[in-house]
Amino acid sequence: MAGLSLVGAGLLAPTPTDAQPTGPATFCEAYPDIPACTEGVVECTTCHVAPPELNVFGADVGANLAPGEARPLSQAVFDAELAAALVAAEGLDSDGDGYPNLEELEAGTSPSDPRSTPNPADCEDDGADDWNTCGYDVGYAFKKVHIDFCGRSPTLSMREAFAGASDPQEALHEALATCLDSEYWRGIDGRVWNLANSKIGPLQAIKSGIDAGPIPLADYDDDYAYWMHTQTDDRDVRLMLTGNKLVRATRDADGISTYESFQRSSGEDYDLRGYDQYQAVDGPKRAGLLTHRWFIMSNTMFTAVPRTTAAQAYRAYLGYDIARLEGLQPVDGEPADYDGKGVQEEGCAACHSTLDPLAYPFSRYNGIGDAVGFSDQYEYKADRLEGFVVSDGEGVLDTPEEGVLLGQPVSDLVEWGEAAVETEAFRRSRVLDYWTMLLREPPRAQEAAEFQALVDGLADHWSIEAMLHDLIDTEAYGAP
Amino acid sequence: MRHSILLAALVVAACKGGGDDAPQKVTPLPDAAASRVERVLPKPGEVWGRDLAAALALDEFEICLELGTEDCIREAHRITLGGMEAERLGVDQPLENALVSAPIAVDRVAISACGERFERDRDGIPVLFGPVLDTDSPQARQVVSENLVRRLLSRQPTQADIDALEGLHGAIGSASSDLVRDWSVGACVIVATSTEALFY
Repeated sequence: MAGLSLVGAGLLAPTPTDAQPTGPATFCEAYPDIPACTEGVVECTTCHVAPPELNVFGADVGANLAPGEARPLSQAVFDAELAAALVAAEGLDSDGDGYPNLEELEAGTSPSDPRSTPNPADCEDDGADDWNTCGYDVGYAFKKVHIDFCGRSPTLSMREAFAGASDPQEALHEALATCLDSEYWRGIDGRVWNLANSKIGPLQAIKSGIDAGPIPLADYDDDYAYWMHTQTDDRDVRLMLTGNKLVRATRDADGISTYESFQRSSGEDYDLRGYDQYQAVDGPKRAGLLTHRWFIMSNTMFTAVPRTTAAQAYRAYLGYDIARLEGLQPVDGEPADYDGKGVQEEGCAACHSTLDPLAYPFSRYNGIGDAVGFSDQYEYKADRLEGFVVSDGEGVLDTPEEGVLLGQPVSDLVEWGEAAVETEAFRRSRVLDYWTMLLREPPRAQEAAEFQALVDGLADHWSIEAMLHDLIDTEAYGAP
Repeated sequence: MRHSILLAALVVAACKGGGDDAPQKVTPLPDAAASRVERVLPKPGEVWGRDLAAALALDEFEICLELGTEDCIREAHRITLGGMEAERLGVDQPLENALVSAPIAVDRVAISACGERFERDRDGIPVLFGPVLDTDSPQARQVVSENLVRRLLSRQPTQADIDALEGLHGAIGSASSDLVRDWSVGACVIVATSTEALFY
């Protein structure tokens, strides 16, 4: 898995002459024992603010990288000179925090962030406030838990009662358990609900069902309800991409939201909810959120090989944004370009050799329509591509249903989902969803170990709520 | 962060007598505890509004209505105060940086909510400002100041808090035609819009 992480996270720049996917590997050859390499994750942000923009450490390395050579550097020169440039920057203090770069890399802190230093023991709490500013403060975590999960600050009496608790850590987790049941957290349009916004991409103008728009194509309330079902009540989060049931969200007379799963065929759903709302994929071909009508409608639309759909699934559920050169795992012989879109061009193939094999398993799920018409919308159809011969040519019929996800062959979309949820990328993406929601930024360099422990721990229980109980115990969460 | 009340009160006091060119004497602030991790986060507007409503014993929808109809927190200033609206506006997560109008929105909500509490206390059974409505004295203001801190910041007040809010009384005394109201609402707004109330 370390190799996958390096490929996924370590693409340093976007153009053929600047893109240096070998950078992380060279970096770890130079520093095999530093935490970022032993934990298998060298983030782009080691050297970049966001590729291709360099951070202060990257700028110092860059200044020492083949000085005198014309820019942009070739891949060969970059590969040959990077190690020497790293050595040249070792003694510098790029972020000006008093610690040389090498000392920071060895300590697992960031040489580009002055807030990240190797020796937090230097901290002295001056006692000027209620908080322990040198480390985890359970009282501060208590306050945060109420704000983050209950949506309200604790009252003075609650804080005083907590201060007198015989086991503050236990009381903290009791508070979290209570808040995880709050409407603010788990209610319809609550905090977890809105965490799915960028994954689902709602658009009221084409919504069907309740609060339908003028062109009702699909109801994303189904997607949100399904998402909520997988994120709450200790349910297995892998159901996100593997479940074959449907979920309905309801709010009772007391204003309490519930998410109830049920099994229903497409025909039954059609009869009950009508054409503009029903889920058209039947149970055996369902793969959780991947086969929901809204997801297929809004991403596949009218395309034979649904690259946009695959890219969105990769981005939303595995954390890899191919548009930013993340998660590239080229497949030999790809892209085959069955639909004649020109993706074998040099400037395209680098990404499409990963993306196209990702997309093939989506190619049997109908979007809005094909070149022939609008029949069988949003259904699974083994012969779906016949409708695209007119627009995409005879070659489109050769598009296989089999694909490749992160180096693993999959026979169809159901297997795509099953393979995806077993990857570390899936777990990282789930933890990062909540980490970023609660801390408003990705993990800092010195927090990598705590973050990784959450990623690893998720494989023990597959429960988002259990992961959140672990998260609030981290120093990243509880240090004022 | 605690000293934000003192800072806010001194800023208000420094505005007194705008035509006076003489330098204002400002008491130095004691050192505040510094966060080592430097990860101070803004409360979502929804949370801040709920805290404000609870502290002032108002229903959430009562604290502020723009033009008398639009709920400030959920509608009029929803995005400005850190909220989202994905379906129609495409704002699928809180804006990364606060909008320039955010302080204005915060002030409007706080002034509305504090003013509403004062009017209700004056016209009915008082909840918060009763002591100064009975007798406008330093002792009464201290009681109100203490309750403002306890209710809005969920902690015990310090002497610095009390002194800062009492300082407001002297600072606005000559400019106010209704000193009881202006001090009450002003003190409430100062605490409600302090960094301690807005961030965590």
